[in-house]
Amino acid sequence: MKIKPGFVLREVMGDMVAVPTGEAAKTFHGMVRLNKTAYEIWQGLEAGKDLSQIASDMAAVYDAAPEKIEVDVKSVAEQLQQAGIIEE
Amino acid sequence: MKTFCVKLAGVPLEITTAKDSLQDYFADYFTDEEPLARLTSLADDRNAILDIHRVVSDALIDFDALLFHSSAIMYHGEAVLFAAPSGTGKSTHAAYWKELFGDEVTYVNDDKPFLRPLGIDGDSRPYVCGSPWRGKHRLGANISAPIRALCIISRADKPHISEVPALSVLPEIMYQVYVPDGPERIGRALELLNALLSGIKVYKLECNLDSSCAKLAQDAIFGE
Repeated sequence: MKIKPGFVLREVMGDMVAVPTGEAAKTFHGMVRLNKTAYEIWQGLEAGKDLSQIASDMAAVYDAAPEKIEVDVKSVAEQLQQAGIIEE
Repeated sequence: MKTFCVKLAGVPLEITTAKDSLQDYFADYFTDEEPLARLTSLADDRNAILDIHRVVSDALIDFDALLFHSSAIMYHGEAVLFAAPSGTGKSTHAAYWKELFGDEVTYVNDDKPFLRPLGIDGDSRPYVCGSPWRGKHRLGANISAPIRALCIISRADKPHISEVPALSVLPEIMYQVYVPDGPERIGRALELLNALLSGIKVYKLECNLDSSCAKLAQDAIFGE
């Protein structure tokens, strides 16, 4: 599971904005807006980590139960997948 | 083929077009200045004006100018941008300002102005500049003005305006930004957008089809 190549990311007013180019633009039209947490998950996926790895990394940083974080990570990943941003 | 020089958003450009008659479209923007870029559009059909628009908008990103789909007016030397999905009534609202405030209002551009978020000619305030693409009513001129505010317009029965954090209307704003060709230019466009939003006030304007909305907006934006 990883982010399709070709997204351009920049910070706009505190959120990260991702715009597809090249390969990514073929399956996703529009722009993605990522808050701080979603961006960390995005970066984890880009680095090739799996969801439970991303969740445990985040649990080490944030004061929250790993199970709760894993639910959030899965939810973000699902949204990205449904939008055609993630490839298997 | 025709080749001519124009100055758009403060940038001298040489344009070569396959459609000779296009030259007239740029008449207000001719310049003798040495061009900083040489652009070519080979389209010679009815899409020629849109093709050259794309070529120019892509190139201007390299000079920090960003095309922003909106209606831009100048009121007492400062500009207000009205943005909304097509058909919502941004041009209609701009027309209400003209109707209500007459000579105090000048059209910068009613459809596709260029923005200079980092300023122009040594002035670092965000600026809006006219362009030849003036919309269906052909309203606008070769002028530029510092931007005071951006209004995101939506329709409602009861008029209302409030200043909002740009982040809360970011999707609406981004939808009106011209997305150039190529990753580097897209990245630059987003950086320019960030600079723009850091330097101006953003309002959410809900309006009906009544010219009194312009007074409501003018009070909020220029009041005090």
